[in-house]
Amino acid sequence: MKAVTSLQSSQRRNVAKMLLVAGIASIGCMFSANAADVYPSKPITLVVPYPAGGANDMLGRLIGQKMSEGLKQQIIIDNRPGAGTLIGATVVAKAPADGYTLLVGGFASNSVSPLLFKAEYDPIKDFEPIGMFGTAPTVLITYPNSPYKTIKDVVDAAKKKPGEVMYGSSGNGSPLHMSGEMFTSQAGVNMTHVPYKGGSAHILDLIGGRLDVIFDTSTNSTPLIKGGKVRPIAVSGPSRLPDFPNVPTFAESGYPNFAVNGWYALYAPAKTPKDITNRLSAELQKVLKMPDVIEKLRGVGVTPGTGEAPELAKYAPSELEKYRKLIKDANIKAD
Amino acid sequence: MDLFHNLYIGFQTALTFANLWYAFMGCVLGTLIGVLPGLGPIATIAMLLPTMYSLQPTSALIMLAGIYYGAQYGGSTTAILINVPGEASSVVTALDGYQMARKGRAGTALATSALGSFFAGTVGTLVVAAFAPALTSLAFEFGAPEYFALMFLGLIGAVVLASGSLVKALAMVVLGLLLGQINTDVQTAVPRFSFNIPELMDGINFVVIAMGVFSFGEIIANLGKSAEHREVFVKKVTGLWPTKKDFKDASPAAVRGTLLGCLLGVLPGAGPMLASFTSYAVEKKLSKHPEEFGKGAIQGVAAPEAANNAGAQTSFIPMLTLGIPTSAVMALMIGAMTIMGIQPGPTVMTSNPTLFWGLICSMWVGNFMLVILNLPLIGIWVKLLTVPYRFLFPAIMAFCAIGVYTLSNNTFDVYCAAAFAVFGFLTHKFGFEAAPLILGFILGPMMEENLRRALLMARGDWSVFVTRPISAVMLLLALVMMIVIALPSISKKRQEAFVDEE
Repeated sequence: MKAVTSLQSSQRRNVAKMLLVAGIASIGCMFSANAADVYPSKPITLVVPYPAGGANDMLGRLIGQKMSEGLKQQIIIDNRPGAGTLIGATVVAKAPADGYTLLVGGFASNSVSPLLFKAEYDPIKDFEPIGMFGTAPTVLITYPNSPYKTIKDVVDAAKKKPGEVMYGSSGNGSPLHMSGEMFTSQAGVNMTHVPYKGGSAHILDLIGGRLDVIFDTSTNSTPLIKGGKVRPIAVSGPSRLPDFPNVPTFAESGYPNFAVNGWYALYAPAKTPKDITNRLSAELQKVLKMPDVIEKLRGVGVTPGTGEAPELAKYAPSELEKYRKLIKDANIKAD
Repeated sequence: MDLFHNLYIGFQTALTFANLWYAFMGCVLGTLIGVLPGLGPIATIAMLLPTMYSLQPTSALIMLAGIYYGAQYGGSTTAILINVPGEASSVVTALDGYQMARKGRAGTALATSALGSFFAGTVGTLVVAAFAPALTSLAFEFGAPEYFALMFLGLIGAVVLASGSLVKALAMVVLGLLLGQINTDVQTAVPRFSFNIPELMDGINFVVIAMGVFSFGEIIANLGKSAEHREVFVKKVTGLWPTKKDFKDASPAAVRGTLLGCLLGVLPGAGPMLASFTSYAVEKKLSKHPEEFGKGAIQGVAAPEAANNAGAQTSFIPMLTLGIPTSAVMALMIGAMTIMGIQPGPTVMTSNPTLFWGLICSMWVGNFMLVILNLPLIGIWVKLLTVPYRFLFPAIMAFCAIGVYTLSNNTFDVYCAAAFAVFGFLTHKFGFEAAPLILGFILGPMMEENLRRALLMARGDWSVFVTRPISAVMLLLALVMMIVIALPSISKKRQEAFVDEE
């Protein structure tokens, strides 16, 4: 019964906490000026620009939970979904630069979405990098009994019947879509892009054989590959994935310049004091060395990052430029 | 027998003291949250996730599943008592359930809903245990043309939901379709009708419209009446328990609803919602007294509630067999599994059989607990209706506002709901019904997406809709339905079906 009562009380505490947060989240920001002394002296809000559930949310929660143990301060996950991450990222870009509002940023919020839609923030200048905590390579997958065994098979088919090989994506501007655009332009072939509205319908259509391939992020496809529901053809990145040593890389298959991957990073608003971002970055680096964190990240197909701020400061602008060029060349536009 | 062996393993896990406790906790929490209008299972689960990490994965999942069912039960309670449908599938329950409550039969409606859901849950659990792989392949059969045809059929059926004027119902369906056009174009990523407001880029949340049009509109209308008419919401509450006649009326409806729910629940996205809408339409068609629908017909509560709950069970199938989440709640559960170190996906069934079958068996346990929990509570819920309206309505408004806020932690949604409240009041005054609007709003964007995808994948060949058998049959059914509605020679039948007031 002891376990039971402790659960109850911890839940009660949690519910009370949440009510408090829901009720006075906005007031909380006003008091930030008073919270001087040692950082962090009050709970930190970690904004996840996606709805609860899904890879970003899960990674944010995992990292947030572990960092809060080290910082000895509560980290509260605040899901602010909408507008292809623009809503959540805007919240952080405009938050006080005191280290109490952080962003789980990455591929969408800091490179592709601001290129496709009108953003109220600058994806680089309005944020202070803390560190990258993971990358998710692209895995080209197909249905189990499909005729495509290698990248060459896919390219040959696309050359023979232009536009008839179909690849699905979770939406316009998703990593899956960008991968498709980059691949077709590098291979000089014409494939049809079939966008879906997030969710998992594209995976069902692939398994059902209605789509030919998907350039999926490894976070989604790793469990499906392990369960034998889809078959991997190639992976992006400099080397093969430890989970799938038999699957060649795009580079090995003749496409050395193919590089699209999801990435996940921690950001603070611009002008956040250096000692605060350094403290956070140090904590992130510690978390990323924990064996159970590494195992969990790898389990969902994420390659753990280093958590170092200078690396992120270099990486993000290069991503932004890469997709600016790709989007311009492929003539993808929103408005 | 494999099935019995599996169920044995499952019950062994689900019936341990600790897991029973977690299932119970989940159900209690879920019911409480569900009864608070607008607060849905997603917000609850997201809140509780941090406390779950320390639990055993199986126990945590059992508790999460309990919250999910509990919230659904609770959601039906608010739909019946105060006309607040918390999710798409309880919109239909509100139609007749609320009318029953207004007539003083809230207890009967709640009991019907609880018993119907329990029956459906039991059948649904068995179906999941026995036919999960077979039903998974049904999900594979459904491509874009099939989804489009199914939704087209649903949309034609939407006018059947109306108990008043047919023309007004059609107008509301079309308005719903138009509201559904506010979003980002899926093919080109162009924001449509968003007027540079980022919040509108993903469209308006369904709950915002449902709250505004259903509950707020109703509240304003009630306040518009003179004080003595509204002061006590319901004066006399009769018979908490369904009578023999009620049982006779409701049982076949619940069985048919269960069947529909089991089948449609497997389809990702719209499954349980379509199931509850379709089962309502079917009951109205089959009934000898279709004119009672919308005025408190017990079948109109039993069928959609059963369908909804059966669908909620079978919607676990794609997640259990493929690791593919079919709803936001399931995406959350998969996330929780990952954080707790269980790799979700098709391998869970073989690598972790106690968790897999324990979860399935706990579904039944959870449903059972909910009946035990809810039947005695009915008396208390019904008492709630006798609270003077001047206390009741501010409470409803406050909770709805909190609920709407938690949708995406954004005040924009609250303002939106306020705007729809005014709109809801006007439609209420002019006798336009909200259910067809909601159905049009939900189905419209999905229909468009699937229509365009079907054509894209068929290279613009429209014949794809009739050359594929499932889609052809459904379109044919829709055509027959349209003819029945349109042809003047059988307009007598139409009169029966729609009870045109003009």
